Amino acid sequence: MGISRVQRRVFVKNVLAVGGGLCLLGASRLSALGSQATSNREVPKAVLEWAEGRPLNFGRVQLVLPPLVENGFLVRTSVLVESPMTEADHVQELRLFSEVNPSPFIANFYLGPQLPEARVETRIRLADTQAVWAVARTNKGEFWCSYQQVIVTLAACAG
Amino acid sequence: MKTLLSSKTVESRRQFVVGAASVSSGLAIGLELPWGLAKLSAAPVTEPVLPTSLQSSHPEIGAWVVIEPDDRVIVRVVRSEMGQGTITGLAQLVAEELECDWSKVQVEYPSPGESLRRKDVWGSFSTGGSRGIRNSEDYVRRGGAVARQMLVQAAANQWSVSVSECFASKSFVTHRPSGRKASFGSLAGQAAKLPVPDAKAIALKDPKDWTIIGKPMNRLDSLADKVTGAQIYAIDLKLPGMLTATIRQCPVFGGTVKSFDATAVGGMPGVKKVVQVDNRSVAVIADTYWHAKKAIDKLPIAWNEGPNAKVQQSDIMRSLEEGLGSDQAFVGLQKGDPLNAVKTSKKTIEASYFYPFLNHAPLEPMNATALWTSSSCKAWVPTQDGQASLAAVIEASGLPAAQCDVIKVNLGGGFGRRGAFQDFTTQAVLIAKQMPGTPIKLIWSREEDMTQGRYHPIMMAKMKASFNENKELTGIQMRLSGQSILAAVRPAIVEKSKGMDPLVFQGVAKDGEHAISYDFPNVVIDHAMRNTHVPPGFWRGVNVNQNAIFMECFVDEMAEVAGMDPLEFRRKYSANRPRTLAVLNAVAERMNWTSKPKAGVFRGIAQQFSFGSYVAAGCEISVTSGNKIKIHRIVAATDPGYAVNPAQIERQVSGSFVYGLSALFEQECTVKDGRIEQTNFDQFGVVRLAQMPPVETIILQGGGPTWGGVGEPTIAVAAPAVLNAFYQATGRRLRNVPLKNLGVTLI
Repeated sequence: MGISRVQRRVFVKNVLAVGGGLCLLGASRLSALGSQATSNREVPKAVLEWAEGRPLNFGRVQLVLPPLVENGFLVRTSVLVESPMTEADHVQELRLFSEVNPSPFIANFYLGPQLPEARVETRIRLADTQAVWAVARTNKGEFWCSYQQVIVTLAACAG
Repeated sequence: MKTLLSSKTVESRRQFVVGAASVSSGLAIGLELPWGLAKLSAAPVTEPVLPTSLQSSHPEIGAWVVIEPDDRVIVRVVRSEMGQGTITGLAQLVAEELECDWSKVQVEYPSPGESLRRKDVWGSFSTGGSRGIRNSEDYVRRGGAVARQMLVQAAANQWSVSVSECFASKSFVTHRPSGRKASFGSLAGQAAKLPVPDAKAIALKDPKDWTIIGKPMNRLDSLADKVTGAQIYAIDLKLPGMLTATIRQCPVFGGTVKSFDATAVGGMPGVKKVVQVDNRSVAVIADTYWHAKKAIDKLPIAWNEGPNAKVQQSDIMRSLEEGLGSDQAFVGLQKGDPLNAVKTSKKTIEASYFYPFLNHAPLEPMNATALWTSSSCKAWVPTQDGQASLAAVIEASGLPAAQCDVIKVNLGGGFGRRGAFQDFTTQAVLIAKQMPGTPIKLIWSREEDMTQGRYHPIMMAKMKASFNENKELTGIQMRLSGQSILAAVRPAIVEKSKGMDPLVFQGVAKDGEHAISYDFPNVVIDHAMRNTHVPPGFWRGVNVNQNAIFMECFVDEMAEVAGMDPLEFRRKYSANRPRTLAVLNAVAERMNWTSKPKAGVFRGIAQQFSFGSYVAAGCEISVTSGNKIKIHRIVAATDPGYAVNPAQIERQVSGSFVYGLSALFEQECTVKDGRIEQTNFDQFGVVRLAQMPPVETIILQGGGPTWGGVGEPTIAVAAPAVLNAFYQATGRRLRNVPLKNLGVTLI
């Protein structure tokens, strides 16, 4: 199925207008750091809710964030999902989730076979030290995910 | 083997060893910083060289302890030493459980990059919030216990005996039945190869059995070096091929650089390059600081100052005054119905107080040194939080985290300026990035440091109290109006609290480590948030500074209406708080409160609970000509639960009063045309030695499951005690800080 080119452009435009800096980019090569997801961490509730009971597969998602950030105001984030991005097999939606932000659902991106690869870069805000989760849904209804731990250093005298 | 590091030796030393002999024992106590300096050059950097003990040939017994074959014990400390004595206290905690000979203990800073590579093995590097000891006491003691257990196991294995027959003491393991002994140094190699036991499963020593914790051990950082000037602070750092930069940031907060003319200074002596650092600052790189400073003073820079250039101090004051009467405010504490209490009262009193913007003004201005290449970036930073510095380096360098690291260098004062705010670190990297391969030391001028701070928030308070016909207190209202730190610095916390800044209520909060220590009958404490364009920050003691003055001075005002002695009034409303009573009573007893002071001498008292510690202070003053205050003595009692190093606590308490009294009498930052007016210490005074009264510290140890802090709690209690004594002496209430604006001085 997939979203038409026009619809997707409209969506990107809206995201830019609302998110103020949130954007989709054809990025430079992802670094080898990060996205070594394993299944030994408790999956956030918001992720499970989205999957609605369907199996979550660890892998295929390369999530890259700095492992250490000063205050979490602006955290560069990039995600690359291994997918041929053909009409028959492509990533349809990609979501970012937080474990401890007041709002666990950080962002979603609608992708389609028009894109050469399933890659996004954005900037997110993190309230505290936590793992960020990236979850991709394919046109076949499969869920692929990964997470990465980010240390947000504490403000000096704050609680 | 006294090791001194002076600016003359730094370039030639194989190891960057800072520190020297502990004063009395003559032992070499080094503070080894990562990476040999000999490896550093202006050439592109190779792989980081690990600090000595992090190399495999040095037996690491668990993550916190290294024991050398010669029995030296190297304890890892990640909190930053800035004069407060934290490295000594933390080492005492580890050594206690390790059962080592204290005279063999040294400390070292692991690098934040190494910690990251090892999955955050040493936890938080943040040195603020009076948390150095209290937030890490459990896991560092366990770090010592783990190492002890591994050493004992190594000995038992060597002798083929049961572990239960062996014990550790004073850096030896002994086999009880046979009396066989082995030194830690001889066992370290084998112990390091053993699996690390589960730290949480080890029972820690009962406090009554402590032999190192609770003792006034000499400091592990060198006092001698500080006195002789031999200590290397970050500003003194010299690296081969290094250049020095200085910076000019838009004097109006929020403004940006419009243009600058580098050619105007390009030919000046020593100038290497003029660079734009970011959208609001420009730097000159030169061979020396002086040449850089001369050039930047001459550099024509045009600013887009923006709308904030119109902001005057009077605008900010008006905004705060409006907040005092606003019908909208965030309620931090409410009990009963104080508004109704006013309606039915026989008498009400009201008073307004003011506390200004303050700069941290550490003696050493902001600075950092960075070396950037296309494949690595390292920075030498005087930091209160090595991890925050590293995060700033990663972000500014544009390089992967694994290729970045930070070396912590001695701070010439921190006070909260160098932890959560790493603007100077980011700038140093952004400048160094424009001269790849050359180490650049960025030094802010004093003027830059004074005008580009992260200021103690400006705050007003309106206090109201009502009384019945028996002069008994029936209700109290406290309205705060002013700036929120967290709204600017940690908005996530404010968001979580539905717009409220919970930190603004420090010392008068409804619960937690800053809870109010009175049980008033009807009370409401709320905050009208009035933010300004001036960036706020955590200034030693943070919001307790003003809240202690507001509440503790007004408590004296209420006691007067109630016809009660100020001490008795406090005791009445903290009757169910034994540890508050204990510090009040300790001060009263030492001062002989019920006796009449000498003629012309007047007393004041104040108490506070903050950062998890109970503190009280009393003072004796005399006043001449109605406005010249002489403080004869301050008696301070503090109960942090556990006293790890009582001598160090005494020094911390005295030092906090120097800082607190300087603010009370001399200091404020004001805004003119959107910029800070005060540019140097001639306009931002500090209490001098001759003005400083003797401080008598009483340490109480209330114990309990949670430990309290030491660095900040007492800073706030001297000021209200002095103000209360001033009223006793003159009948005049002083409600605006600093007192110099009221014509009142400290002599």
